[in-house]
Parts: sequence; structure tokens; C-alpha cells
Amino acid sequence: MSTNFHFLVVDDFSTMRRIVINLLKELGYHKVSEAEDGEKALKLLQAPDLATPINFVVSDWNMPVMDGLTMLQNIRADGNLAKLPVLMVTAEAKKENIIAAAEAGADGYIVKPFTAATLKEKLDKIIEKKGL
Amino acid sequence: MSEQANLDAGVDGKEAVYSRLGSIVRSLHDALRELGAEQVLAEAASEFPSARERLLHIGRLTEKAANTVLNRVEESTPIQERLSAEARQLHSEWHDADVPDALRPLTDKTGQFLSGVQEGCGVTRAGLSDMMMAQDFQDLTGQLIKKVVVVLERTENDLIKLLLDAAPEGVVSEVKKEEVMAGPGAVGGVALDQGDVDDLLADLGF
Repeated sequence: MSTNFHFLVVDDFSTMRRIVINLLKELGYHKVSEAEDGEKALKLLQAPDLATPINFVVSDWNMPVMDGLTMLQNIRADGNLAKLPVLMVTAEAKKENIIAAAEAGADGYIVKPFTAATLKEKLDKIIEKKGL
Repeated sequence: MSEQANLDAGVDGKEAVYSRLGSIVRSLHDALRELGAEQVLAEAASEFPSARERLLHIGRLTEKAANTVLNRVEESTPIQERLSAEARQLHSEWHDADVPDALRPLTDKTGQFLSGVQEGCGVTRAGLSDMMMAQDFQDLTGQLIKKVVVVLERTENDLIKLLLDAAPEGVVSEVKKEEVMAGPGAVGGVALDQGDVDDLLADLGF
């Protein structure tokens, strides 16, 4: 398993970003960037001058400026980013939310509140499925 | 029925609804005057900014508390990890060392202690991780508070519109004064300009 991933954690709540970043570090993923909304995340993802490109996104849904679903749709529509793994971590647990995320091309969906074990399980599953 | 006829019926239906709404508001307007309820409504409206501010204060306090916990967890975790790694290293060095028999009981005890340190560090490390995870309440409560604040803002807006609508000239300026006293840019301050008031009244058939 590669621990050389560069993660991007997208959430408008700084507490949640810190928790996810710490969990990723516990799991051995030490290269993590953060963004507070979908628009800022897209800017980072599309930045041509990033030393190590981001290759895994963990995102909240409900955010100001640009929500996680819109960000995901933008990622899938961008030729350079289309294959980027995106894991949604969100309190939006309605059936239509999950269907919308799946249709937009999310690779996984975690409902808040969640445990470290759930995060590990979903990450491992995506890594295995995508052959990363 | 043709599509056009359907559309026409839709427009007529909408107009009927607006006309009925207008007449309900007119009745409410008269009733408010007769009951002298402007004062009650004005008091209720003036409570909203304070309620909103208190909710936001709760949000800030819980965020601060969550951050304090996260700071301490982030400080303590590496210390526990280092302690555990050093205990493991020392344990293995003692294990490989050529120790005289006289010292054997002491080194055995030290070895047990170093094993205990590793175990204890593991338990503390897991506890710190749980404490960190428990702070996710702040994300969920914070989102709820934000949503309630939006509802409060909307209700306050509606209430003030109703007040402006029901009040005679003098009272309107008083309501506006209270809004001004909230300060420009005050959290959730409701700015309703004359255009908004006129549009609303026009929509309601006044």
C-alpha cells in the first residue's frame, strides 16, 4: 500500500479538517493539504505549480461558496482531474444525497459522525478498487 | 385542454392566491391595529438579534473548547509515541545486554516496567484518538446552530415586514431605529430598504 498519497481535506469547519487530517496521519498518510470550500479546493487541484500534485480528495458536502457535490462534478468534468479519487465525508445522510453523490462519481461516502475504522476501511477499499 | 389553456389557468390560479393572500394580510393588518399587537410584535422582533447572538456565542464557545482539546491531543500524541518507541528500544537493549547474575532481578524488573510503559502508551494513545474523534460534535452542532440562525433571521425579517406593514408612520421609524442600533454589519442585522417595503406591499395588493 502506498503511503505517498497527497491528500486534500475539504471542509468548512476547521475542527473537522483537523480531525480528518489527524486520522489520516494516524493511518500513515502524512502529506495532507486542506481547503475550506469547493472553490478553494478546485483552485488547489488545478494549480500547475504544486510540487506534489494532490491525488486523493476527502470532502464535506455542505459548504459555503461551492458545496462538495458541485466540486465533485467539476472534478469529473475536468480532463486532468477526472480520475481523481474522491471520498465524501458528510452529515448529509438522505437517500437522495447518496444517490446524487454516486451519480456524480464519488468513490466513497462516509456519514458523520464516523470512526477511524470506517475511514480506514473506505480508504483501503478505494485504493484497492482503483489499483493505487 | 391545450397547453396554453393550462398556462392561463396557472396564471389565474396564482393571481387568485395572491389576491386571497392580500386580503388575509389586510385582515391581519386590521386585527393587529384593533388588538394593539404592534408592541408585542416589536418586542418579539427585538429579541431576535439577541437570541441569534447567544446561539452564535454557543457556537464560538464549543469551537474554542474543541480546539483546546485538539491542541492538547496534537501535543500529547507525539510524546506518547516517542515514549513508547524509546521504551521498546531500551527493552531490547537490556534484553541483548550481557548482565551479571547479581543484577538479573533488577534488569528483569526494568524489562517488565518498560513493557508496561509501551502498553500504557498504547492505551493513552488510543484514548487521545477517541478524545479527538469526540470533538466532531462541534461540526454537527455548529451546522445545526448555523441553520437555526438562518431560520431566526428569516422569521425576524418576516416579522419586521409584518410590523412595518401594520404600523402607523411613527412606529415604523421606531422599528427602523432599533435596527440601526444593532450597528451596521451586526451579525444577522436586517436591512429592509424602502424599495423592499414598497415591493412587498405592492405584491400584497396595497
